[in-house]
Amino acid sequence: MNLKSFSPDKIAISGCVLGLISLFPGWFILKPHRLSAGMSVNLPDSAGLALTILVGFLWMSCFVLSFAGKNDLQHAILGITADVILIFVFIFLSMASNNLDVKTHVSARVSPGAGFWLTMLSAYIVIFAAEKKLEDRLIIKNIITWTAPAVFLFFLFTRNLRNFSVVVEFAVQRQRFIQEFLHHIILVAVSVFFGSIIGILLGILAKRSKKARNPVFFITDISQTIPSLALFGLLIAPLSVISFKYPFLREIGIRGIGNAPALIALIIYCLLPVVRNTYSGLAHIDKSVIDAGKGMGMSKMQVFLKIEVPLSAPLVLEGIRISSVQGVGLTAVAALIGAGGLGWFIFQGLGQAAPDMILLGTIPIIILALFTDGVMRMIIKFTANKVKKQKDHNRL
Amino acid sequence: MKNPKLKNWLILIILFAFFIVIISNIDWWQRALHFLFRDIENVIYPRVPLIAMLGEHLKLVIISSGLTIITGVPLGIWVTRSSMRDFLDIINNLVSIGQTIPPVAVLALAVPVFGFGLIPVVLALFLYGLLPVVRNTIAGIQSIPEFVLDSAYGLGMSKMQALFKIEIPLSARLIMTGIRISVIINIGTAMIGAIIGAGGLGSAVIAGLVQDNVAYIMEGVVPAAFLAILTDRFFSNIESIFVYNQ
Repeated sequence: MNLKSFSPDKIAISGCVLGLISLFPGWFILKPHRLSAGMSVNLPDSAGLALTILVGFLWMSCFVLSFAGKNDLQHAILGITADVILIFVFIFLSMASNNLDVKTHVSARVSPGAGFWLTMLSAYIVIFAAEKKLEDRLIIKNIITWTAPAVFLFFLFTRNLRNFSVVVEFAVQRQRFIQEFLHHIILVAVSVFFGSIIGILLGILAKRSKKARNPVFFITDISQTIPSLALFGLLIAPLSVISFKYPFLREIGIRGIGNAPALIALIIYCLLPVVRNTYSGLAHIDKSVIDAGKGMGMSKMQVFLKIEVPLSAPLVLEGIRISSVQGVGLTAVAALIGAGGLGWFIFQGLGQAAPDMILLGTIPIIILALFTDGVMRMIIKFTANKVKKQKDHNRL
Repeated sequence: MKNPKLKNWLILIILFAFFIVIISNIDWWQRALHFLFRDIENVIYPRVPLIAMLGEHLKLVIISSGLTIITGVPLGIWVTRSSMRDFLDIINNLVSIGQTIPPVAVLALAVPVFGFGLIPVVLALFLYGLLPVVRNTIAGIQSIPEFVLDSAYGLGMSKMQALFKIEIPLSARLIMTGIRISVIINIGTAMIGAIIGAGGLGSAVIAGLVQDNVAYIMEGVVPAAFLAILTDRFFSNIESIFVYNQ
């Protein structure tokens, strides 16, 4: 046998093996209401033996493909097969959720179990492996990536998942959810906005004046080290003292707990990544470039605006990316000091021992964090390309 | 004081002694908090003494971070071995997605899966703490230029010798950075763990928030901030021992 042409894809194979194993543990947990422990159901009991075997067969074909796949077509089929498996998973979820006896229990619900999550992970691994082999086939790669999420959204909006636990919880608290979701986004946006402005200014200051450099880094460093809950707590005492002394502050909403300490703490947390990246962005600019600018008769302001700003922009934006992703998570903690946001559901859920409510807060936070990360990365890539083009243009 | 490293250690020791003295004198707390918040009757959290809360907090962080370090570093090294090269990308991908997820979310998710109490918090801290350690271990080992390893093999070193004499020492600084980040995150997240019933300094803060008692909040918050800063300095000082990379 010619071993050179025979190159099994280790990642995809381990994904397939994991996928086959994941058929066995409990797939769904059926609960009559929010607080009950629920009953675990296996896939054959829930979806029927025939469909279970069909999914097993699909995993086996993935297995064969990842052993023998040689050309792009076969890699694409591998990815699409994993997509089909995911679509089956969603169908199973909607079947399980439609079969629930909702008439006897108004808030009956179905939660995904270990088997469900393991299958999702396995499919992710296989899709990742397939896309890695497909290198520069962008169109087919995008199709493979987005098919499953699109199908999931379709099921969600056609109300096929209406008894899925998180959806049930959402339906119960729709108004509150929308309100807290928007509030979360506003808190993050406002704090990242002001944090970035202050951070960029401090970064420029640190670059310009040697005297200021150490204190700026020292303070931002320490503030990043302090635990989030501790920083929120530290702000409560002074703010409540101040607001009692000057009642007009209370009227405009500045109190010991609530939005004021949350925003201040979030802005402080924002600083370090932005300050560091602004500083290193400016510090890494080649001296000769600035000298060339000066030699061309540029004023200090022109050197700053036309050379320093564009050249350091990608690094500064990278700092803002780190800050905003971090901010999405920290804002969740702010709910503890009464600032609201999606963290409210987490802590209410923890208080009432209601896992579905915890998920209602957690899942959007994770999606929001991943989304922010993705968008910021795209912006950074775009700016970096533009800067590079500018550089090449100048060279010509 | 000519040696800056020695100076850093001395500052750390002085701060640490100061911390111990403050923590062990609950009377001082009582007086200071009474002075600051005159209209609050009970200024000291009555359920658990401060020392015990600090002890619980340390226990939580030491167990979870200890587990993180003894599994994370070998895991990071293992996936950079040539036999595991295929898996490196997907592990990097999983780790960077994982780091995007906020620690609170991981802590909250631990409850539906593992329930309430100490163990879910330890597991959540352990799992989340793995990410920076694995990531930095991989980054550290990958930052070593190819020719350095080639010349090590050229000298007749075995793969094991190259690992222990070249790769680990050269990446030690980055690995230590990962450990520091991980421990600091754990100290912070452990505070929130009080809600799940893991105890620690967070319990005073939560009680203070529920009962609207700023003094309780201070009692939990000040030692926690102090602890985090001390730990950060401690690990930074260790990091600066490994200067091979500079």
